[in-house]
Amino acid sequence: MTDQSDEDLLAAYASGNQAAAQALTLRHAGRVFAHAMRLLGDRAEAEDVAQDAMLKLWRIAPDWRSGEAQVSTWLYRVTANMCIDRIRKRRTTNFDDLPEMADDSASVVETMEQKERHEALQDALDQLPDRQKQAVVLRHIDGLSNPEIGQIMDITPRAVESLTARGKRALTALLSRKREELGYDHAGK
Amino acid sequence: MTTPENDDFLEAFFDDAKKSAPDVPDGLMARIMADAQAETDRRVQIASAAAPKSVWAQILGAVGGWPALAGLSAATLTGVWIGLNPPAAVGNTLAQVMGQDGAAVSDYMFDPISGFELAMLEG
Repeated sequence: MTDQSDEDLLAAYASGNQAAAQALTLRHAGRVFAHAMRLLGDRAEAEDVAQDAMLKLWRIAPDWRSGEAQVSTWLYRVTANMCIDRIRKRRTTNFDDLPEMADDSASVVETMEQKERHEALQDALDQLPDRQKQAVVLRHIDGLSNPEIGQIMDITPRAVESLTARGKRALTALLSRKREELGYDHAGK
Repeated sequence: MTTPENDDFLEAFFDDAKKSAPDVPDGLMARIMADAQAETDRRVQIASAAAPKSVWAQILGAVGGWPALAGLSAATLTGVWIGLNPPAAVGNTLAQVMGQDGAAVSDYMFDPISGFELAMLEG
């Protein structure tokens, strides 16, 4: 199963093969959860989004049109849309009701400094406009190319470049104040 | 403004984030797999409900299912059994009804020209 393409696995699942669903889950669920976690900054919400995104994949499996989109691209798009919906709903709710941003399950060997860096980055990302945040996360953390991000966000690669550049400028401004206290020296590390 | 130094600075944050992808929560994979199974079951159910029924299944449905069919079969077999091996009382009654036992019965039962037929002849 591991050497089969996503599309083949999805077709196998559509005809009832649960092993194919398992292979797809192992291949994508972690990435979907991580992406949702970075966009939302909340573990419980990211978990819900990851489960819902995969459920949407199971539901579309029989109607999946081969060659139109990559399963990974489609999942990033669905995940990001659900995250942005949730972020917009949050803005209309009382800020006191928002969940804690801290990640409870961070590894026990992780140092406080690293944790502070993660929180600082997540904090800064959360202050970016939704589309900038999405583009920066996809480009610089998930490591996707500009054309791939363009497909996910339905924009041109040039527009992706512009979004990520603006996002990085904003992040630099937000994070530079904390630079020394977070353990980054002036050489950047 | 992004400068090479700023880029390095940000890259360090991004590298940290890449290295420490959040752990997938316990149970998430199992819940996703359970959803996959439930979705398959739902599709199978919809497909079987939409599939055309066989003639036999349609007949079974029309008579009211297996319990009704069992009752109907029992009644049919009982009728056949009575026909082949009738009890004595049933035999006499049948003979009387068919006009094979006694003049009294045949006098009453036989009507060579009925009132209706006479009326038709008279126009």
